[in-house]
Amino acid sequence: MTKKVYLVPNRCLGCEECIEACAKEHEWAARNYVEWIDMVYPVQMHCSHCVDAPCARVCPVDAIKTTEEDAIVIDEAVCIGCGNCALVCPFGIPRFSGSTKKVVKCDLCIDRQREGKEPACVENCPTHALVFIDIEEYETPKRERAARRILEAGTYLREILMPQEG
Amino acid sequence: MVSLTKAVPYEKIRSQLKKTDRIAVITCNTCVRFCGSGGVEKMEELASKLRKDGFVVTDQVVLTAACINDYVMNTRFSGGLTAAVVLACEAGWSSVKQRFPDKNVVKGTETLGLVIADRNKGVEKLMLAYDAHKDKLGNEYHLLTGELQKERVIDMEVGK
Amino acid sequence: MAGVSRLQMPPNFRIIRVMCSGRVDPLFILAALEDGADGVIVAGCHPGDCHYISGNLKAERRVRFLKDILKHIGLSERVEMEFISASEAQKFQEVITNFTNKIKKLGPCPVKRETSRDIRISEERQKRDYIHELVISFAESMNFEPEGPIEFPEDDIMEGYGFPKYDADKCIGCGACYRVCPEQVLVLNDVNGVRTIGHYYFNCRTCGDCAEICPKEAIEIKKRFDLRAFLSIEPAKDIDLELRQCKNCGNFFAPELQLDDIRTTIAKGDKEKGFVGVEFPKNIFDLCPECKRKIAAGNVKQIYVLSR
Repeated sequence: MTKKVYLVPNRCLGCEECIEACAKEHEWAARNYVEWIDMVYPVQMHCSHCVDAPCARVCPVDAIKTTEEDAIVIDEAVCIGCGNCALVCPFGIPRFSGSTKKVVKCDLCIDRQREGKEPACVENCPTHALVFIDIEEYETPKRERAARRILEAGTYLREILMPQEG
Repeated sequence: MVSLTKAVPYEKIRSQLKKTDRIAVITCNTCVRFCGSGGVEKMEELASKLRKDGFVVTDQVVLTAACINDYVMNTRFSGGLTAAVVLACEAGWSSVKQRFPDKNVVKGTETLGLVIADRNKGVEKLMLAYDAHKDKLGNEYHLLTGELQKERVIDMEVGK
Repeated sequence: MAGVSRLQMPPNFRIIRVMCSGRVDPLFILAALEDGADGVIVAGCHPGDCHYISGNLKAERRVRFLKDILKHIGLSERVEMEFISASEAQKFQEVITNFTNKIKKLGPCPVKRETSRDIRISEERQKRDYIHELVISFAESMNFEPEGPIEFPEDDIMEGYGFPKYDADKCIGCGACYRVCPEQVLVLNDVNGVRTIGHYYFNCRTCGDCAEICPKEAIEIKKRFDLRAFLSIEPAKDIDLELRQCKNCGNFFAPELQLDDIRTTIAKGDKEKGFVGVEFPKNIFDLCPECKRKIAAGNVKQIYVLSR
């Protein structure tokens, strides 16, 4: 059971509390983003912690490793700041930190996790738009709702378009 | 979050709709979800019930907040809509009404007033109430279910 | 000893005692020339006799370095190094007297100043910075302008003067060297789609951090001193790299060579770590990271806009 942070988009107000919480947790350099599409739709983005992470593959000094929480983490001490990971990421997530000149990205707050807490962004989201759960837990209610709708659509069509005899 | 709403009983909603209507059920996923009178789950429940009773529900829409007019205006609905049930606060309802001025827009909730929420304690307290609900000032309701709490745990004076 | 032996010494020289001639920094000599000394002579123990093993040899090399610089500027006669032991009273008197006479003939030092230069060593302004400042000042006063590069032989170069040399066949332009340099020696400029990596001459202290960090081992620290580059304030250019342009926003975001290197690494895979090689599609680097992020976010817009 791997827990990751997921966004429920239609709960996101774009208040950017998550960015401030992340910054506070990580020496005032936030690792997440809120992208505004067409200036009105906020979408929070953070590292997907890919199972086969391209960033880990291209790091020349092996600074990127998978932890036991299945998080992909950059070891700041080993990082040389070459930027390979930032360039290869399909979502453009890793970024250069202004202060250390090395590359930083979301680490799923493993320090907090090891203290039994949730990642900082999740704890601070006022509308619970960010959730820290296993993907199955996130998908199951959606699947059930979709299934029910398909069933109902079918029932509705049957009754209106093919009225029962008698 | 901000507004306190109570779900309108199903019978009352149903009585305002016709079997020939093409209905959209619209909800917010913030305030009304925290009051237990809206959100994805409640919307699905309502749509389901309506369908079982033979109504035609063509659209189920979840918005972050209906009071953000841009979202209401930019959402794409099915053609031929004749009615909408709005599970949102009064502001959200009027936003949808602006979008469909000549259609039957049904209020799915009743707005009581404004609250302060305490997520740690899991309750919200009514701090500002509309005239019809002045008697409920200071009441506390459970977050996400909207149940009235007998014991008051938020230590705040109303009107201060 | 010379005093005890009652030998005659010229009156206008000042002795500054140090525990070892190795303590004498070129900065002292340069500052002295500006501050009123018409000549400076460094006297150290004979080679092999140094109480601190090799302090005298270090001093000798530093003075040689300084003399080489001053020779071009036109002040070299005013600085000398001599090996004199404590018991060689006679030699001491001879050396000093000859030197004083020579300086008398040369006349007062042309770079002498009315007021002393304020020299305070700190984090921001280190000895090397002041040495650089003084040499430039002397060259200006003496109207010395080099016409071409003036390279010093390796043996004449003092410790700590050198520069990073780039192997153009290996460098991918990632800039890790530029980010790690503790002295801000390296410069990295992206202009018109080309990345230029260069270095300032005077503050490289050959620490070797850049050579160590380079993922492609493209840097070698070389001992080298070019007086013309030392006097110029422009950074020397080392390597030019082409940058790729984002098809969406038009920004130049990464060197082509670095992107090629990434592509190769992914394609190769890694048997030890269990990565199977993957061929990236041709257009995978068409967008800069910012645009990739925005476009990925844009896909979520559907949830906001569509109903049902």
